[in-house]
Amino acid sequence: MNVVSVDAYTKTSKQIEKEKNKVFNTLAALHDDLCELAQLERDLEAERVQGVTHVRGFAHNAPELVEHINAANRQLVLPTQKVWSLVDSAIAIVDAANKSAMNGSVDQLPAVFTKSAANRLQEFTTGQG
Amino acid sequence: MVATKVLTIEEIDARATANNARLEVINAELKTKNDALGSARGFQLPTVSMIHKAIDNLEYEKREIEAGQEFLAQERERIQNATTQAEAEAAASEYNSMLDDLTPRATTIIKSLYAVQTQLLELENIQELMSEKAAVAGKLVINPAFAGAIIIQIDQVKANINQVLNQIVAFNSRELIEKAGIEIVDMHAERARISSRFSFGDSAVIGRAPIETGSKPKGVLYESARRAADLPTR
Repeated sequence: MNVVSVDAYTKTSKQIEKEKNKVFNTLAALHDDLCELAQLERDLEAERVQGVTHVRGFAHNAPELVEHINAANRQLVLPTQKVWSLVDSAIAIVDAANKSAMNGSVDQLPAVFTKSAANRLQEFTTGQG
Repeated sequence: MVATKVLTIEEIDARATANNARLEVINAELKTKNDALGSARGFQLPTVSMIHKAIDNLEYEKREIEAGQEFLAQERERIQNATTQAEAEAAASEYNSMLDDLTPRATTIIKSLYAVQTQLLELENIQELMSEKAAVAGKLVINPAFAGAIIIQIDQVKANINQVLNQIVAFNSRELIEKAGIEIVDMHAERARISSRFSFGDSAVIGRAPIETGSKPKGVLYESARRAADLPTR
């Protein structure tokens, strides 16, 4: 039989904690990146609307832009809202699992995990958390 | 090369207004002259000839002014379009740079999603191995699978991330994703790869065992991983 020392367990516990932290940090980074992407998409939409309404004959006067938009449509597309929603659910799962009074380690989590669901949603939809 | 002054819209409008005023005067004079000709039966020939000449001059001036008006109208439209063109190009430039920023961001996010999926597999693997170790040790220690104080519901989180990645692959073609420099990770192969190596704390890293392919029932370690972790094989 293998002999497993408590010391080895302690070390492995630390390794597990390290792996967990990697997951938390990546989820937090994903949340931030998705919020930034959503903001960029909002800015882009505002620019597009401005272009269409304020610049007369947008397609006529800037045919290269229309071409670029068409090219962009063939580029990688991320269903931002859907992705954010599922990433947010993953964050919510961790948040819920650590709400227990027995677990006092929530402070170790990245800031996004301590925000309320409403705050996270607001951050994603308006850019202000 | 002779530089020609480019008129502003305001200057064009001022000239057009002046031209219109002059046209009104010419038209009035033409009417007077034509009326005079109509009642000129008693006039002497030189007088009639003079009136004709005056009418010819007025009509010539009228045609000149009308051509000028046409030119001014064209110039006005050209200048206005040029302004609109400049505005459109400025907007296009701004829009283009924003668009160009989208794909790298989307790429980063997708790469992070694959990274978190691999990290979850790594974590799951260590926890499974630690559970096995705990069992071998006669459960003398607390199951260290949960030793990290913060809890992750690995299965649920992983299911969410999987769903996201499936949606992304469905939304875009595999080609498009790979073209963006993203490696689509085969999670079964990745799991096999991760299971094939084992690091027990910092104390022992046991060599890489051969990768076993194919799906395996959840919660059951690969034999190779068991061997690598010094666990009894089944």
